[in-house]
Amino acid sequence: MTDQIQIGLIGIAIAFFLIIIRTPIGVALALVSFGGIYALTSFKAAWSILTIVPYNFITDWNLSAIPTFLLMGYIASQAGLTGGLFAAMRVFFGRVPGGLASSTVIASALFASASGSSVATAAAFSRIAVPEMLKARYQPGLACGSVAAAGTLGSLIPPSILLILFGIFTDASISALFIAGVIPGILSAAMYIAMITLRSWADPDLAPVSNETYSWNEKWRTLLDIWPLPTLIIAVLGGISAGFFTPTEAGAVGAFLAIIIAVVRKQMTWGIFVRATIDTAVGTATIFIIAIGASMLSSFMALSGLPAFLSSVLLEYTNGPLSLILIIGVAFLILGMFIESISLILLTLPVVLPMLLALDVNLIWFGIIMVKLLEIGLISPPLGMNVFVMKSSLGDQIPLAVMFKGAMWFILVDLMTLGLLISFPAISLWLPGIVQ
Amino acid sequence: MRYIIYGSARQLELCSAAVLGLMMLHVVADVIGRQFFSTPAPATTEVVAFYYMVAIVFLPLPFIELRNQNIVVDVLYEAVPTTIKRIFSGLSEVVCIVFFGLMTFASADHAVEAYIKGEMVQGYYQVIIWPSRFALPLSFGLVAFILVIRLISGTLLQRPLLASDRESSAHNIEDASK
Repeated sequence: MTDQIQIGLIGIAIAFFLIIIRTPIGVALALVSFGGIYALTSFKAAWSILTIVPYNFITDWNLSAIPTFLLMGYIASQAGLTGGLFAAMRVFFGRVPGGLASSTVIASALFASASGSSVATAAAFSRIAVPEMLKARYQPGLACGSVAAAGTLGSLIPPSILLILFGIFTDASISALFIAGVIPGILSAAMYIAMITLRSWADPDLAPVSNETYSWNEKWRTLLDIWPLPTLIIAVLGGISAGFFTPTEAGAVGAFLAIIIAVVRKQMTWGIFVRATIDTAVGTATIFIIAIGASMLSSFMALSGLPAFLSSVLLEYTNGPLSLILIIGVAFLILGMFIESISLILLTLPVVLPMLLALDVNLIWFGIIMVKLLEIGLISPPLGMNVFVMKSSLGDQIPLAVMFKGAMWFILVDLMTLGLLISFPAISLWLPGIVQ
Repeated sequence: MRYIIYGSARQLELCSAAVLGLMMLHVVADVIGRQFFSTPAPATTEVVAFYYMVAIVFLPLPFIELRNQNIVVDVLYEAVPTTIKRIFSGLSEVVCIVFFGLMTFASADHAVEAYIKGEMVQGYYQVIIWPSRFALPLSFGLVAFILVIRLISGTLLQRPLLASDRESSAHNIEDASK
């Protein structure tokens, strides 16, 4: 092991120490990179990274997709375009075994894809859906598990901030990533619903079948209520596939469309607009501070030669991408328990990417798998973030252990889905192949 | 003093929000102009990258710092006794001050250099870009200032001049999810 590699390792260790004493992640990464580059080369080189990277990293036209997609999400949720989703799904699926839990899965998948945040979705649906399921005498574990797990679907179903960031850091096509996420996202939701239905059918105590009935008239009315979100998602994806606008421009178009829909439905006020833009600016800045740190870390890592060293060590034991994915998978499951997904993807890509390139792994396929792994981490015990958010919004009603036990079923199903995604790359790659 | 800090941080944040709205309109106008009238809005990519993005990303930083909305990992911090918490937050505040202090100087240095050169990008259009570089030292400087005040008044003297207001940031996240 050379000195450079040791410096690289020490740098990573210091970064982790700073992060666990509650230093903002971006600051920790940037400062460690500055120190590391100074140690590896010269003060002048380190200083120039500090002066050049923040401005040059940000002034990239492609990055403007992130604030605009965030804005679309904030407008959709704050103007109430996401309201009524659960109620509507319930009308359609209420009488199927476990129907309320399945309704939760579909409604929060839509909500999450528009809001772009698994955690925000879990927070919202623990207040909307969990009380309704408990009232219908669903087992608390199932009720909580479905909410925690369904929130994670949003990062596969486009538009997904995680996939945009992955595309930017790896130079993979963002529109291909978006389109690649569609089938895995739908597959994950279908697997959840299949599991819920089978379990509830086998054990009716788990989720007593409801006898609510709705007329077709009522069903149509609820459909009228929820059209904005599917419309937004289809318009964004359709416009990208048709070449009408680029994925970068799609965010601005989507946000604009969300505003128009909200105005048409008389749900838009100036106050909502101002709050949505402020929240978006804050969200963007917090993400980008980490991204700037990660970008500096990439330079530091490249100089230290640590990623190349790690991949050569790994390559001695492995012969292909599969074992690499397994190792990265285990690392993600562990890190994902206490670092939220955007930070985690930015934190690990500088180390992981060179290995992927060395092994010639398909980046679109890997991007989808990476996102799936990250999301499983969000619901895994002992520290799954979605479950904690749910706990904090539900209070003492349901013990944490029950929530995690409920989530375990969904993790099992997710691992099966993950297995499918790994064994059959076509699930992710077929659709982008025919669209482009 | 509090007024000045909160007021200027707030103004910067509002400014960034306004720029975001403008960016959305500019890009939409560009798409519509290109598709329907074959006249794209001028210099969209340059203005978005060098002005809008810079404003959106850097101007909210002081307010984020004031409200403690940075993304941090709480797991260990929540588990240790109060004395160690104080040491941890003191340490991480010092780290942040060093970082934002360095960034203020580095970016100011670069901004002045760009101003002297009259920096511009040369694409289809020629766009002057040096003014946007001054957003960085402005924001980084204010963040460093906030951190110094917080370290002295809050962590060392235990008499916080600037509320560290973690409650309100948790509240905001909840509101945003509604």
